[in-house]
Amino acid sequence: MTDTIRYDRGADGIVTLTLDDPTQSANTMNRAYAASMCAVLDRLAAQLPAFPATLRKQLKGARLPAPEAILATAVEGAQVDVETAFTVETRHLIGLLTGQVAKNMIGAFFFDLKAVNGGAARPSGVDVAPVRRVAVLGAGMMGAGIAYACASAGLEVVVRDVSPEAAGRAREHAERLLARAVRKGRATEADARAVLDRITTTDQVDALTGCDAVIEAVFEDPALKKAVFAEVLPMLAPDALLASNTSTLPITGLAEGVDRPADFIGMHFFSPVDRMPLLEIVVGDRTGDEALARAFDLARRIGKTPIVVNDGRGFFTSRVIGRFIDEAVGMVVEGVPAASVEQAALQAGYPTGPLALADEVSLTLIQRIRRQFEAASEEYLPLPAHRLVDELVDAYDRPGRAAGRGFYSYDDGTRGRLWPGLADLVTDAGRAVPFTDLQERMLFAEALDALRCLDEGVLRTETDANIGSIFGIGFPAWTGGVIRYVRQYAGGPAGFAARAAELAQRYGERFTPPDDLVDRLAASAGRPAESVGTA
Amino acid sequence: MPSEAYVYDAVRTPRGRGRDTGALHGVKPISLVVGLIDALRERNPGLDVGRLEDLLLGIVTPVGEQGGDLARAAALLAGLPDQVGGVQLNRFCASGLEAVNAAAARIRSGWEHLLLAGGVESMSRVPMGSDGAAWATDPQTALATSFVPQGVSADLIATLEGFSRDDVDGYALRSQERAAKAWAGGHFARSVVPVRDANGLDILTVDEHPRPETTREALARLTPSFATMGEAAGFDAVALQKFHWLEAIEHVHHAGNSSGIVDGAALVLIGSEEVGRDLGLTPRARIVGAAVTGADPTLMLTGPIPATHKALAVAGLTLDDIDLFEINEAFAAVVLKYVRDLGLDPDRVNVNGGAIALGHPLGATGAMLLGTALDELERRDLRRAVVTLCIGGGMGVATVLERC
Ligand SMILES: CC(C)(COP(=O)(O)OP(=O)(O)OC[C@H]1O[C@@H](n2cnc3c(N)ncnc32)[C@H](O)[C@@H]1OP(=O)(O)O)[C@@H](O)C(=O)NCCC(=O)NCCS
Ligand SMILES: NC(=O)c1ccc[n+]([C@@H]2O[C@H](COP(=O)([O-])OP(=O)(O)OC[C@H]3O[C@@H](n4cnc5c(N)ncnc54)[C@H](O)[C@@H]3O)[C@@H](O)[C@H]2O)c1
Repeated sequence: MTDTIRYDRGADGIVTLTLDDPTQSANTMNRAYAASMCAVLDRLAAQLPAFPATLRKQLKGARLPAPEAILATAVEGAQVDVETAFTVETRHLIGLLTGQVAKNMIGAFFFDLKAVNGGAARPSGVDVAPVRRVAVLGAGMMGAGIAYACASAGLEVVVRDVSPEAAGRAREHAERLLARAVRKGRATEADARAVLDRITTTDQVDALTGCDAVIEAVFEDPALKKAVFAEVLPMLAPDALLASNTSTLPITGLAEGVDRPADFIGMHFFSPVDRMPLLEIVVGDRTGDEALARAFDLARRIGKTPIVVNDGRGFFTSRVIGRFIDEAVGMVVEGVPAASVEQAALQAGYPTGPLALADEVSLTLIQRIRRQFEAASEEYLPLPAHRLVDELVDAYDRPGRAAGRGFYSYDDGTRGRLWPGLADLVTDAGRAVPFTDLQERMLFAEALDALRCLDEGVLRTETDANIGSIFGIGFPAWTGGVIRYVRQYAGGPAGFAARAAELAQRYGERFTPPDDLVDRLAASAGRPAESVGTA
Repeated sequence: MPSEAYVYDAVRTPRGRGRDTGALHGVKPISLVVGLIDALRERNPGLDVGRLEDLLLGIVTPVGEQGGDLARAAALLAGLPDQVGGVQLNRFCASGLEAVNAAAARIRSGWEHLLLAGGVESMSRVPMGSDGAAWATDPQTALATSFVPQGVSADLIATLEGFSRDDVDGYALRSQERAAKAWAGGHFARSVVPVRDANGLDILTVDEHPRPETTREALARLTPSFATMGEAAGFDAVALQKFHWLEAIEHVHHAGNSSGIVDGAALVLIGSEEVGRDLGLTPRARIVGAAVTGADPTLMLTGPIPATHKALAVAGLTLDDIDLFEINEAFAAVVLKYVRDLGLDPDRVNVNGGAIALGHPLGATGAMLLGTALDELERRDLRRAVVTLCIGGGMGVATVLERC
């Protein structure tokens, strides 16, 4: 009975609930709790409608089951006594636990991540000396980020660029990040000073003397890269690890510039380095196990999650993300409203719309990378998307975010609206493509290319593909990764293959699934890292 | 022997501003209804209340003093015989017309012969939304149905249709001008029954909401009402996730081009041919078609378009057979979209203004519009009208009225 309960408001405004008769059942207490929650709810009622809407806004329309269930549990639970609320919560939780998305995410974020960080891809039994002093070549966006990551992990770093001023930018970058860390209480002044003291910047090659690893991050130009390696090699420790941060250039080719190709490896970081956990280690044709082991250990030392892939233009991540952008831009060319393309990706769970991403990367860079692909490969497939990127860059001077204009217009760095002129550059304005097709064209374009990467040996394991796709190129996390997406698709790999065939029929040959897809995935389903969460 | 459904009379209260300074704020909702029952009996001396069977009232916020089946309580308080029932119904903004249509269908069934139908809403006393709603407040439901509030839907329609702020303000101005002319010309005189106190003193005799002094410039200065809720609370995002080809919602609706919040009630006397003959009542019109239907719940306010088509099909008529249209001015864009989609002559639509000027007492409006349409058909000596309202949750109700 509620009348046996006293509500007392203290001077501090806090209300205490007391049972007059301590022998009263727990139910009484629950009823009192429910009554007080009802009062809270009454006050909240006016705001309740905003909660689901705010959730939809924050998740950018991605319909993730857990956040929705949590909100539902909180609101539904508050209407009833606490025992019933627990029952309601349990029902929601069981739905989540037994759902595919939880399986996907546990598979990726627990098992796959553990396998990758635990060294599944590191050659076993190879003992190597840990790296202590790192030379970073180039103090641009990437070089500065890499230098900071190394110094923060306690390594000595020497950053070299063409002038003392240019090299000094690496120090300024570190100062900025450290000042913020101190402000937020994540580091002390002393910590910050220690990190800064470990960073030396220079324009002199002899300052690199004794470094036992070099990470090159100069412009994306093979000749320049070879030249800087040649220049610094004599200064380094004789067995120094030789790494390039190139994002697309084949490692085997770059290794031709050095006399010890076995020590040469790709260490592909992601921007911004201090926030992106992934590192894509690229093994060239002649890269030795020791180099791989050292690169792997270095990656772990600086807190990165290293996937290991084999060589190939664009490796895994840069290549597959290209399919995503190509497909999206292609849909714009077909006449799908650009806003729909962005919405489709965001609602599919991508963290950024493909057109915003393309602006971010810069259309000029996308154009340049594509031309390198074009020049290097006979299999190069010209796509309508390429024409649009060329027009934006060459005819309309809209090269991307840095310039303040690309697919979007930018005002002082803030993204504004999509460029209305896009509508005039399309071939079939107003073409209606089902929303699900928009989403799956992007997801499938990436998944199919990832399968090809497995086929071609660029990818060594599904685990690396899953982790690399989520942490490196924003493949939707709910899928548990790009290959797990194929496995978990309704109907399994066979369902995926059938849907791919359908997309191929509607939108082009590039969606044709590999013949042996189903058999191959079935055959490898038992491998430890993949076996979990994909049943 | 089933009969046609005849409208014998229609009355309404004036609409008071729906706030604590409004003239009807001191009047209980039940009193508004009882006042109208009294007025109907006075106006129709032949009306034998012993023949009345039920009172159907649309009430959109049926809680507190509007709750507990107010219709039955009102019937009793008005001194109607014990056998006259009372039922409250809720189809959001169309509740008043829903009551009329339900009554008409019951008359046409042949089972009943004389019914009172209408609605009441005292928005100053029982605030809109205070009854809660799973649709809006249950996360699972809201998420699954892409719930957004009406104002955001109205702005969404304007954005999709390309109606500019100037377009919607222009329509609002016309509503004010037409309402002012209608009042000056006595177009509402036949239906409006003054609200009086127990001492017989007038409390309100005219609609209190219109602002005849409205100018385009004044409207242009008003701040959009639904921008903050759309942007800060995430409702724009919800709408855009569904209407994904749009990049942003243009918030064009405000206090001057949305329906006003008011207090009021309306009643319609509906019966069979036989009862009219028995009681010596002259039928004013027949209800020849009625329909309810749904449309996209996020766009929400386009239901009148399919509802009109459906009601006309029921009546075996086409748009060309209709002389006048009354569509509730929930928001200016709702009317502009209706006129555009049906290809109507704007001079046949809401000729005496609408809820933008006069106000929208939720549960009562549908029955009020029926009376307004009927009066105007008679005044102009025309034959047929369509009355329709857009509805929360994405529904539409329409009624086709034909003079006898
Ligand atoms: C739109 C809405 C939110 C506006 O509410 P509000 O801000 O309380 O409205 P107010 O009456 O206070 O008007 C706001 C201002 O506009 C001014 N205004 C209103 N109409 C005007 C006109 N025609 N000309 C000039 N000014 C006008 C008022 O004077 C007031 O100015 P003030 O703030 O300086 O006093 C409200 O009317 C509404 O929700 N309407 C829709 C109702 C609804 O949803 N119905 C059910 C679904 S259809
Ligand atoms: N930007 C990215 O998101 C990203 C991501 C991964 C990898 N990468 C790769 O990293 C590399 C660098 O990219 P970035 O974005 O930092 O470029 P950047 O233009 O910001 O920096 C390049 C730096 O190299 C310096 N440099 C040029 N010649 C030099 C020389 N001879 N010796 C020393 N320094 C020299 C330049 O002065 C400049 O500071 C490229 O290979 C790029 O493909 C870039």
